[in-house]
Amino acid sequence: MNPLAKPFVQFFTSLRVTVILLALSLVLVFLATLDQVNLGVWAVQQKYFRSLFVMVHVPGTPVSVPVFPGGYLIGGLLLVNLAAAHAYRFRLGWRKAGIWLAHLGLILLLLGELFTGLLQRDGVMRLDQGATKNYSESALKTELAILDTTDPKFDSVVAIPESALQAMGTLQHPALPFTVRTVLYFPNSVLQMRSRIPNAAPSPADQGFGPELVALPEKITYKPDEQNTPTVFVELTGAEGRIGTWLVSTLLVEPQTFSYQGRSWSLALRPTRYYQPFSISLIKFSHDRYAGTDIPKNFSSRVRLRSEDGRVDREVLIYMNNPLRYGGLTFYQAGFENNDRTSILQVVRNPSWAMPYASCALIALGLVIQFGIHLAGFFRKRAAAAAAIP
Amino acid sequence: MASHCRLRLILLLTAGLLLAGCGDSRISAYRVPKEAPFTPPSAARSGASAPAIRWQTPPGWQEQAGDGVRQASFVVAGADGAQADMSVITFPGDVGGDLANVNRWRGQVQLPPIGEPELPKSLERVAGPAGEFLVVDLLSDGPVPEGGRRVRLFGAILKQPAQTWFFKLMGEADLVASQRNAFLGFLQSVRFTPGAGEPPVATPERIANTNDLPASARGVPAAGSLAQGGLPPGHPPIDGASVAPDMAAQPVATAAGQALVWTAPSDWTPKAGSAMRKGSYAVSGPEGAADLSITAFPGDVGGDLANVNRWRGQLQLPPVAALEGSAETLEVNGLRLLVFDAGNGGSRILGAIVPRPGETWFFKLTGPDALVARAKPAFLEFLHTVRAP
Repeated sequence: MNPLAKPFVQFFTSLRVTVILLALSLVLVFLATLDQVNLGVWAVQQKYFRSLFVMVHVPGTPVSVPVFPGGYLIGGLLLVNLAAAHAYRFRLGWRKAGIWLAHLGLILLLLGELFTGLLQRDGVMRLDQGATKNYSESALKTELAILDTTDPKFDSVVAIPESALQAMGTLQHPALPFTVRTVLYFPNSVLQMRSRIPNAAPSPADQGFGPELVALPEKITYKPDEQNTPTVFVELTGAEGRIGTWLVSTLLVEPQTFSYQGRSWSLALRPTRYYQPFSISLIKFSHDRYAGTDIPKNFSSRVRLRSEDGRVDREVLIYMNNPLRYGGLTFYQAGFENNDRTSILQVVRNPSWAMPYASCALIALGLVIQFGIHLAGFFRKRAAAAAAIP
Repeated sequence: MASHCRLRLILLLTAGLLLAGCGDSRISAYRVPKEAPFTPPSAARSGASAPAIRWQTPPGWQEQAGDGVRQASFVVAGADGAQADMSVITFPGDVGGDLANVNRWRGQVQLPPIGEPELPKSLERVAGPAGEFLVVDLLSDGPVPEGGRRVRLFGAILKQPAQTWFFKLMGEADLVASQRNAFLGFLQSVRFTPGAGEPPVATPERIANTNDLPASARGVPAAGSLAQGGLPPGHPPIDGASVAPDMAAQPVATAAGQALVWTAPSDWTPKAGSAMRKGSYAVSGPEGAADLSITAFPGDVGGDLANVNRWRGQLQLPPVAALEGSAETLEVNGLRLLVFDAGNGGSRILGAIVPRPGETWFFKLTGPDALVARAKPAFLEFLHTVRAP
């Protein structure tokens, strides 16, 4: 072996590293559980588990420093450790088949969580009775949607994620004849009518609804029953110069429209949309209660599923624990509102959803085989010992 | 050789894992078919600009402009100045049930309330394209108001899963009687716009939830001051008052019940009422301002004890098991008033509950403890001016 690689290999195949990593992951889970009080489950997942390092903000500075290895680092190192131990230490052979299978299952389990973290996408589809949608919306992310609405049949959409606006830079896209610059960004805010706050500072916005409104920053909320409502002031600049500054906010329900170079445009900050090549219509939402009480018994949505190519057109009943799986997405009955006339479906894309099942099956199979081999050996020995007795 | 291969594999795995941590925040561009035109939720709430209900106006009926409560309004004029008024109203839920609704109408023509056993006899079932109407025909025993004429009321209730529609023709007895066929014809002409499914009603965004989704995903209203929806087209929001009242959370105001009358002290400032309030005054002093609200709701709203405990709850006081000690009865102008007075944590509620046929009136003064306590004599004097006309 290359003498340079030797300490590296020794480190990664070391059982001591395995134990240290497992101990670190215990501490990580403990710390994250404590911090869940402050951050809520979503932010904790991102900060502690779906990160290489747990970063802590240094008060008074814009700097964050790593204070603890994150879930991806610990999990990744465990994975490398496990793979390296197999590559260097274990030997292939029938007698070890069970151990191999169990470890393969463990590796799959780790990879499954990695893929889930990277590929899973959660969204919400909110459908009024009779309404049809071909997109779901993110519950956590927002985007600035700039629509060219000139075509009578189609809208050309340029969607800028909030994270790109947050960088406060100037953004350009080939589909837009102007640049977009973030003037002011509030991750959470409230809006007030300017007439109610006579002493408010002048608005950076000079177009649309903005001049009549005052945006007030709010503390970012992590509470599970609250939602951040960002407000952004964006300045659009074309080839001939500045077009104007707009206030966009998820608090504004309606998009703001303007004309530029003979085309009609509309601007809105909205939950990030995920379009899909099929549509879902809500035929009926049912909310059954136990007789004489308000205690919910069952929620269900009868929906019509239609694919764009017309090959699929069928009715589906979605209810608790009976989701609709179609096109790589899973639609769960999640809630309702509006006097039982609006159904809320949780829409999950997780291409690796089957991996935990497969890995658990592999681990179980591996253990059965391994113990089976030992048991068979034990019986053989006993039979041999019995035969040896004169 | 084999060991080199294995080493490379491990290095590749490590690098892959490190790269995997990078996020994605790219700008995307795509084309989508145009969506259906935007319908602002606020318009759907009042039902004013998008009526899902359709009808044919009978000859001789003059359509009036609806208001925030009425979906439709007509005036029928008869000989020698006799008039009748027709209204179409919708509210979420069953508005207390058939008995409460019928008794509310009976109260309006000064008939005593009836009990559950008599209810089927007073209801006539009329089938129409829009569904089954429960029709009542009520004739006052004497002139209403005194010295006036006898009054007749044709009422129809149409129940839908999420709301109830009320059709009411009320006015001079002979004129209303002559319009019976027109009224029934009107009911037969009622249609709901196809595709709209069910008509829009005043419904707040209410969530009930069933699993552990993030609350944001369940559509829990935002932390911001503006409730979801509520923006008229082409107009920006945003103040608390512009958001539609939370109708489902409280009983519904009777639209045209026979009002009580009162005389307020001159130093109380009348305020603009809301759809829910029959009257509204500001009582101010050096300690701040107190709010007097006068409301009426169908039925007994749960009974005196429930109402007293609701007010106690608003003061964060524990509920009581009996009224003794928490409220006292006052007889004023033939009305029985239950007077409530309690304070906690610097706030005080001084209230009076007045049961009326088919409905209950509430007079409630809320504000800083000291101010409300000081205003108590004026409030009691004010209660003595309350009477039924």
